[in-house]
Amino acid sequence: MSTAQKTSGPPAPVPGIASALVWGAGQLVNRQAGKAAFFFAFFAALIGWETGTGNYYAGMDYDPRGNGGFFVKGLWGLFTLGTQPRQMTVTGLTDGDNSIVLMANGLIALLTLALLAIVWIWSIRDAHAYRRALNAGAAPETSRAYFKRVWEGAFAYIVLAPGLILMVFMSVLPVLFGILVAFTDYNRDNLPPKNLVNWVGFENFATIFAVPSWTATFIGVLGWTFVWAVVATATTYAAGFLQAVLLANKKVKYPRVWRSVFLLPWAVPGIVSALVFRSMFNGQFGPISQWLMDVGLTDERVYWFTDPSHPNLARAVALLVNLWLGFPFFMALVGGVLTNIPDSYYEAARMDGAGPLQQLRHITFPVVHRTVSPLLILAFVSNFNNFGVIYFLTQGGPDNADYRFAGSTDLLITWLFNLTLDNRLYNIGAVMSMLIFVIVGTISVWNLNRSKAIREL
Amino acid sequence: MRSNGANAGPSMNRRHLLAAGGGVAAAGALAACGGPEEEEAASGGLEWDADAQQYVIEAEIASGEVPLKLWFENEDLANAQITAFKEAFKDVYPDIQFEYELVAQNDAVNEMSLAGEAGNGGDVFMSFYDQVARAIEEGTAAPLGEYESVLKGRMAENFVGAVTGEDGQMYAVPVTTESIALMYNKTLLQTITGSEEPATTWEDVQAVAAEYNDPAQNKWTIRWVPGEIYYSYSVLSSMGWQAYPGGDVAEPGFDDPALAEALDYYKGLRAIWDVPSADATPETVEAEFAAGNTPYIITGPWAFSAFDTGAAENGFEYGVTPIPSAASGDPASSFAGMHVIAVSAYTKYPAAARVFANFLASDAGAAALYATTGQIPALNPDLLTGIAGLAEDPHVAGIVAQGAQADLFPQLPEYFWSTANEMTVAVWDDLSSSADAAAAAVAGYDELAGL
Amino acid sequence: MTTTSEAPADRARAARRRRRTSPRSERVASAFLHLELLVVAAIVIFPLLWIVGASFSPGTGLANASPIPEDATLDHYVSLFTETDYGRWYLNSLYVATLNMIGSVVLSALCGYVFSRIRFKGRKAGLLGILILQMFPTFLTAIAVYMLFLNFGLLDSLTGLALVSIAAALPYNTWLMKGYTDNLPASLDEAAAIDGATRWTIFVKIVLPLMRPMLTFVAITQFTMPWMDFILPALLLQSPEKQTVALGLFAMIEDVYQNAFTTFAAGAVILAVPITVLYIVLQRYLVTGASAGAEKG
Repeated sequence: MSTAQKTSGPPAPVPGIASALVWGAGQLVNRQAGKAAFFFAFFAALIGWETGTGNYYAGMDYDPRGNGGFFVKGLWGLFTLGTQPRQMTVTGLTDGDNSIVLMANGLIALLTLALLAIVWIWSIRDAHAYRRALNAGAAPETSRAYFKRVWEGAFAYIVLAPGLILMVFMSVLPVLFGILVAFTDYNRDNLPPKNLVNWVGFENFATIFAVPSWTATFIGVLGWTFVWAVVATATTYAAGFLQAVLLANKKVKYPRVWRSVFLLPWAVPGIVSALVFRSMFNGQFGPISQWLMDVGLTDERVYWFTDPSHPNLARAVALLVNLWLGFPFFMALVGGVLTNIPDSYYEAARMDGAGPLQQLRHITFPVVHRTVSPLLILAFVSNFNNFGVIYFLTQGGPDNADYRFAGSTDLLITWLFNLTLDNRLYNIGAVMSMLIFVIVGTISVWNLNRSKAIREL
Repeated sequence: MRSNGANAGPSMNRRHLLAAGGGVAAAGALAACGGPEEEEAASGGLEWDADAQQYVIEAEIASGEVPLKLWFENEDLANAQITAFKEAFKDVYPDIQFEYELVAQNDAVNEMSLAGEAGNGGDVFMSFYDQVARAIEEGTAAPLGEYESVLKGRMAENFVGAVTGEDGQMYAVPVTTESIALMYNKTLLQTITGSEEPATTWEDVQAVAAEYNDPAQNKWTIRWVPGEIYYSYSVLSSMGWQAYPGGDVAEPGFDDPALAEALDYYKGLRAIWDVPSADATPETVEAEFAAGNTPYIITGPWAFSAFDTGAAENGFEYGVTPIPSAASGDPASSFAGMHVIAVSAYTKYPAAARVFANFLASDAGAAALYATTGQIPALNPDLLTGIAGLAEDPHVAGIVAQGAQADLFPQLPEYFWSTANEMTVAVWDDLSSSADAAAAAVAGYDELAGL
Repeated sequence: MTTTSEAPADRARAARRRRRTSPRSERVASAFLHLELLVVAAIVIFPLLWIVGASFSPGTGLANASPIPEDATLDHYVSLFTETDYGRWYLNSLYVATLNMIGSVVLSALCGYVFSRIRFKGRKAGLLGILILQMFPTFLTAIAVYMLFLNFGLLDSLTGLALVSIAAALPYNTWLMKGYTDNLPASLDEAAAIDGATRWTIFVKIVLPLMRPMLTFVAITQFTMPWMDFILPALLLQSPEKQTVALGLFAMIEDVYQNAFTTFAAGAVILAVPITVLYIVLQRYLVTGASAGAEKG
């Protein structure tokens, strides 16, 4: 907080370089103790963390594996995936490297460093810019004033920071990890802790295309997954729309009661509902099969989810169950939009002589659809990856002899789950996860880009 | 969760043992036996009390300062074993403490690889014998050390072989032995056929079915889980098909011409149990037998407690007997299985963990096991005589009789189960011809083996 | 809906008249309308009735379950609390749910406000990025979260579990909040800004109170979500005293030693009832919330 108006300080790059070496040093050169302390705190935390978790002492023979702290050893581990396999002895495992732990820790270290790098670059640029401004004759600024200015100017970034940090570690980290696994030989033949995992480049990508029966299964399952995602989204939306429009009708008595009832499937935990339906549609013991026979509609029990000769029956029933589960959300959604459509629209339409159906078609539907379309894309994506319903309802059944480890109702995600976890082919699973990601991501980005909500961002 | 593998009773001729090095005798303990004094041979950092034939438990555990952590699937069994252990060691280790976490036996090995690394895994964990190979390969189970000599004297060689790694060391303690068998409702059979004698061939079953089956009423003469090789193998083997005929992991025997024929016969059984494979789940199958609605069921001893309850509630008696043989007349084989307990490679208390693991195969541990779950301890027959009630238990006798025909395959790859199950389902649900199903199994097995 | 045969010119008058009189066609339409509602309601209620019935059925297995059991029993409810740790599980889930609710509301309100009201570099990329990130299949990648928690001592911790849940739902909730805030009149905060109020003051004093319906919506949905979440708790929680309701209930139906479908049903009912009541009482917010998230302009 120098009050000297004379700008006899060093040239602008000097504080910048100083801050690059020791964070906050440049600010100290600039005589801004508050700022210096702020940046130095991050630097001290970084160094303290590294030395505290590492093994640094004078005159050591440095090697990142033995001496590195969280960051150095993390990066070393990410790069090498370990060099020393563990041995089994009568007292347990000897010390050694666990490649998967090293990889995960390495990623954590890398992401932490990336976040800290933001502060680092900030400190360098600040030291440099401030000194340049001083040298150009600008008035000095106190640290307090600076932070106040930052708080207003960078308000968005500061407020977003907690959420961003949370997402970097809880969402970005796992995704990066999943992508990295695709480039390793991490599978049943090579599992830690006793074995080291290695980087293998694109080998796994070649493998999945080299097994013809998988390609056939992949294409078949992919086709059904698309049908499922489209039909499931369309039916829940249509049914929700219909119910909402009916409930909005002035003639309905006790609309609140009806709506409460229709909201029930949304309120009841989804997995419980899926299990209930699985039991109800159980071919042997399920009440529906029995009832159909008792009434005389069918001569034999109907094996809803398990009859391989009727895969489409299972698919249809799964879609119906999904409809039951999913329509209340769209009903609430559309219901809310309907209350927001000004009455004047309808009045005007009536004046023009539009009947109720025409009003529905020309006012209600377009307005609702325009509002809802981004959510429809999200619904499509979540149906595409709808693990819960299929896994708990049909478990992929009925069986399909043309598929490997997949049944007729298996979605890509459930197939992948069985394939990777039952057979412990983690690297192959990672490759397929990436494929799914690319497919779903492309579709949604393409669609979102066309929607009004995104274009107007 | 039930393992895919299974097991056998004591004193059974197991026909084939795959791979898995035979018993390499552990040296240390024998040498110590000679000395009259208390000699303590240190082996690998653990203190072995040769006199008591056990490791000396670490001070932290012995004093009760730190509890030994157990991973069990069955809470009752965990409590029973803890009580029995404390009773047996009340003079030596009066203060020892335990805690347990409920972990499914099928998941234990998998979970240990993460939890162990994190330092919060169990010190010992229960699993199935067919997961021991994986635990050895990954390095989550530690060898038993000196206890090998103790255990080898108490159980059949092939039990030991099934938990032995390629280095010749034992990596788990066999605890129970089991096999599926035919169980029959004596009371119901009496009303249907006028005799409570069980069927010995599938023709006998079919004869009852002709009379009793009524699909509209969901009445079936026999129920089992038809979509799993674990069950279908009894029929296939009775028709002359043998899995892994040469004992080589690369040759599962799916290309044997006898297999297609056996599958045809198996498909024929759908006439008397006409339900898609996915609908016949273990829960429903067992519930119907427990309710007294089905004369026959093929299942394993894990269902005994449910059946005992059901029999008492619904007023019937049931028996256990070998699985009926098929047209070709070979005895129906089955997969022998074992529940095992292993010492975590991550444990900080390797001695205490080994003492506890070994305890499950001791007389007191075996008695607690039988008393709690009714399972058959994996011990030599002469050691079982001391367990109250076991010798007179007709249900156990039935399992043991079937066990005499059971095959114990150590360390089958998991893709054997997935490909063979697919084959069984394809045939049962008439998805493809028997020959095609067998051919698909050959291809699928090779595909997975080659990855 | 109603008849379309009326002459256009009479429409307005007819609409007014309809409120007083009710011609036969109107009554027929109304009857059909209510019939449809009744059928849908029956379809909605039957499966739920079935699980409630199962929870009162004697016996243990699935095969014993029926919508209206003949000799109903409370045994399963009793044994839930006497033979299992249901009470403990319930409290654990309640803790995670509450934390998840608070965390989600706070963070998504902040993020939603910023994304809606402030133009800054990386805004569009950020909004799209958080959405796309969600589309990566996650079951394989959970190991990374496990190692992360191991490093930060959050394994086997209910707080850690809540953190994951907050992060998992944050993108969607941020979008909801942003969509809702977009629709709030900007004139209010502009006026305040001219008066010299800081961004933070504007947010806390002006925008936040207006966001209340959406805050309630996010609060309800995030409160209910952790109750049945299964995969992550199974990975992250281990010790018996840290189990959640979902873990306990699923262990119950997976355990081969006890065939406990009916007890499971009882547990599911106890779980579902408070949540359902919450949904019904607060349905007004659900409707505004669900639609407001989609609103644009």
